[in-house]
Amino acid sequence: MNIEEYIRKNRNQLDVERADEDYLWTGISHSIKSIPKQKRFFTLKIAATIILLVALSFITYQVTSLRNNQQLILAKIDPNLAKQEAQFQNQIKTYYTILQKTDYNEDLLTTSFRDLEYIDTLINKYSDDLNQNGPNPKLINSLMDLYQKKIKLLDRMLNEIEKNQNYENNKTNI
Amino acid sequence: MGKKSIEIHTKLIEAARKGDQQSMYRLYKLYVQAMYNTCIRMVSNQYDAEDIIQESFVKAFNNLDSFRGDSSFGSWLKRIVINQSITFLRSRKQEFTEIDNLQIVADENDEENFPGIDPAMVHESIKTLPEKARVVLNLYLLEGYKHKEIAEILNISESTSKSQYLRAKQLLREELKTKIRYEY
Repeated sequence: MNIEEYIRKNRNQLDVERADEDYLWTGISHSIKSIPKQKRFFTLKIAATIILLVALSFITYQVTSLRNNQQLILAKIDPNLAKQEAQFQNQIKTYYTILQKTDYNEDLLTTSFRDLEYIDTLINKYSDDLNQNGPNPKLINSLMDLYQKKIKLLDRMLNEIEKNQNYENNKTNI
Repeated sequence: MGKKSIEIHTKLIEAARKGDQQSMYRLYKLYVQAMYNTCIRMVSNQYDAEDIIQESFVKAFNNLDSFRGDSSFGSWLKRIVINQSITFLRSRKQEFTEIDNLQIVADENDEENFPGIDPAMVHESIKTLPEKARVVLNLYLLEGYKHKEIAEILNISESTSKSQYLRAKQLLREELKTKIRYEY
């Protein structure tokens, strides 16, 4: 039996280490949200409303703020490049629209809005540099590269959301 | 998992959703060891694994409403643990894309047998693997992910995932050989 077969056959026996259950639980129990029973229903209603409003505003803010900075940076530089830039931005816009309509839990995603924000920061920086210093091929290439990265990241995010929703029933069942 | 076991799980999850800490504790007891072992094989360090396990259970219990029961609770929880582990490894600035062009050819010793090994030896040997190879091996061989899925999660190409997996197997075999020689 080769090593691959051995591991597959003995998968459940590989869990040989023992976690210190009491120590771990102490930390977990302190961090779990606890609500007194008699107030729970009323508090939950209020909390749910607040969370919903905050979440909606937050998502709207994230999506719109990320989208708003997308103006055609290359329009003054080269009409052909501007055309390509417009295509990238349309793709990004489409992904954001899908994202807005999707029900997802950000905590379960390995991709995050922070990465997108970081890309936007760089796009804005390159845009300023181009405005100040004029057309620079390296900057233009980097800018296009950033658009593509953003598209890839959004694509991954949407894939991940879809996968989380399907939960992969065929994955490890314990 | 039997029907009765599923019913008990469902009841525990329902009670935990309502904030019943006793039910949370019972769920925790059911899954903590399996989750801990998965996690420590990913991050290869006891203290990091303990932190990740705590964060994962807190996240799971605080987000129980998003568990819709489409899969088992264990699968759902394991996904959280794996995501938390990857996020942790990323936070240490370990870029999985670094060796995107690594070319490893299939090893002719792949069919080699290992008489005398035991699960504990394999578990320990996995923990000694280099990080990227270790994560890919864990996800593919132990957690049942496909290379395509691993590529998406780790932001690497599918071929890198395959190369890392081959590399992990080669290194694992070498490590096991060393351990066997040492023991006899």
